[in-house]
Amino acid sequence: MKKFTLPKKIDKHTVKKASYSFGISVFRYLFLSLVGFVILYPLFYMISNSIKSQDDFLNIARIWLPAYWTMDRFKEVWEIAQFGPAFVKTLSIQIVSAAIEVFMCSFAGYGLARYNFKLKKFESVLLILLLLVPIQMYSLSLSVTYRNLGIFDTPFVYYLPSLFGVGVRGGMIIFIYRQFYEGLPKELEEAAFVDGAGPLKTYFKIALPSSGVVILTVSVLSFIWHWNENYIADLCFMSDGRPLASVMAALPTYLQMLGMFLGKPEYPAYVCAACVIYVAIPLVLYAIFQRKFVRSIDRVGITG
Amino acid sequence: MKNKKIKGIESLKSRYGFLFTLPWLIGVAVFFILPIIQSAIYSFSSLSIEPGRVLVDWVGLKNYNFILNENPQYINNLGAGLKNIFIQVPFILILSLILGILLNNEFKGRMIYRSLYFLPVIIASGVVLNLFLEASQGDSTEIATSASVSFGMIDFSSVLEGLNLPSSILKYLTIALDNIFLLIWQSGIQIVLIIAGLQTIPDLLYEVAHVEGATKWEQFWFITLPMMIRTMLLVVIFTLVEVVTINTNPVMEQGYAYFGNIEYGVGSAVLWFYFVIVGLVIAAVMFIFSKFLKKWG
Repeated sequence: MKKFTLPKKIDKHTVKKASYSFGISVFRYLFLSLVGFVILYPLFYMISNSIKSQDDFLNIARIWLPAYWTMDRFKEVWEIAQFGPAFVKTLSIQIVSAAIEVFMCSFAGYGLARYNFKLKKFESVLLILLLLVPIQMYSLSLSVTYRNLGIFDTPFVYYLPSLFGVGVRGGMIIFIYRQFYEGLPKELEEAAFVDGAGPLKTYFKIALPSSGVVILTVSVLSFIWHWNENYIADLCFMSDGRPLASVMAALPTYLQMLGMFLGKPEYPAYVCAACVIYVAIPLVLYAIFQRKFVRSIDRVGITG
Repeated sequence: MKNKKIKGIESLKSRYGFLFTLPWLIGVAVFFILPIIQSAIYSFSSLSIEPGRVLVDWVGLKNYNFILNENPQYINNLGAGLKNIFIQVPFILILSLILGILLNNEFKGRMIYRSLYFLPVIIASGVVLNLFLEASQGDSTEIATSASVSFGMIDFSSVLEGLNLPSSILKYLTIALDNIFLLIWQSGIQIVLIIAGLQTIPDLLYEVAHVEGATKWEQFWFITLPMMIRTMLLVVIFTLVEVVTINTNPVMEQGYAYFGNIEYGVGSAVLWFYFVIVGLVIAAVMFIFSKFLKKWG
């Protein structure tokens, strides 16, 4: 039997290396696509269910593509669940709160990263605690605090904590800011300080203009966390006008009752339609900003 | 003019630093520390709610005695809740580490895959995830979120059984696969954090290792992992908090049920006992990581 030998120019090492890297890239595409499918699956599922006609929905054999499809559900559920007013509420309460949070948290993050002071260690421990302790643990007493402050059932249950940097996941946002400013060179700021610029002026004229990257990251996160926040809203808003996330959380029960009442067994399809609308809005925003956002994640440099 | 002690620039700067964080400190005191102390008191009390105010009646350890000795359900839920942590956290961690590393390297179509993997961050933090799980459980087509159905006709558990794995690992993998959607959708932020962390490792280290003849595998263990230890700590803690507080957690469900029945004292005790144990777990994790940090950091 003739022994197979490799040509002289390509030695064994190179072949081994090439096949190794080829194997890795095959594994990469396979693995990423498989998990990617799992990520996309619920989205397709929601969309497919929400456009199926009633017969198709009840037909077990029709899993993905409907034979007869309908777009009416989106409009119907928009009106049944009163999405319009809820959307306005979300914009005027939660998105405003997100903007406040993004602005106010930067001060604490900047202070913790740039300056040395007596209570710094203590405040760092507090920050970790704020990250860790879930709001569920103290929500009842928090609502009592809101009552005592006279802001219960007003938009200020979002505005006021955001103003003080302890809004929705404020700990996480301050943490990201702190990590960013710790990595930012401080020579420029020191020069400005020596030249007589006050700390606030230094912050606004020098630090802030160079933190566009982190502000974009934090804005996206804060927006999405506020958009999905229904815990505080359920707890503190007694009157009818609730934001979208609250409406969504209560929707399955509401639609189930309504479905039984109206004789519509396909009520989950309405829930799916509502989900599609609810998800579409941040998705459109994401599509616009994703390139910048994905890049900015690279440059923030969160190290922990 | 009085003879004031002239202060150095350092003390001036330290005062500025404190002033920058002062509003936040006030916020933490009012909206975080005080409510936490209050809720600890609630767990030792019997509460009755009157319109506009809460009446607190100190009852000592009665609530804790009730949930631990008289209510067999709580211990079960506690066990199930803690088991969730030990099943889900390692899975999410390893998955997001693999995905983060795969997505971090240069390859064709990286941008598309990356934006795909940020989708869970955008969508899955809360309401929709729960709704999707509910919708898929309640609908007539019975497409459950379990792996055996979702990947077409392949029944994963039977494949796994054929592999002759030890039963404990088999059990773990089966549970993980049954919750695959939840687990992958919960890994969004973790992937973001890991990619951000990977970006901070200087290329220089890999170049040196390459010149010295280290394999990719060795590079992972001796460069990537040690350099990522701080990021991993953040990711572990974030994941722990997410897994612990998700609505579908049995202990959280029980606590909410008590809140729903206006038994706030018992509900607070349910959550406090749970979170103290979770706090101990987190402290243990931080302790282990601090050992590694000393070694590698």
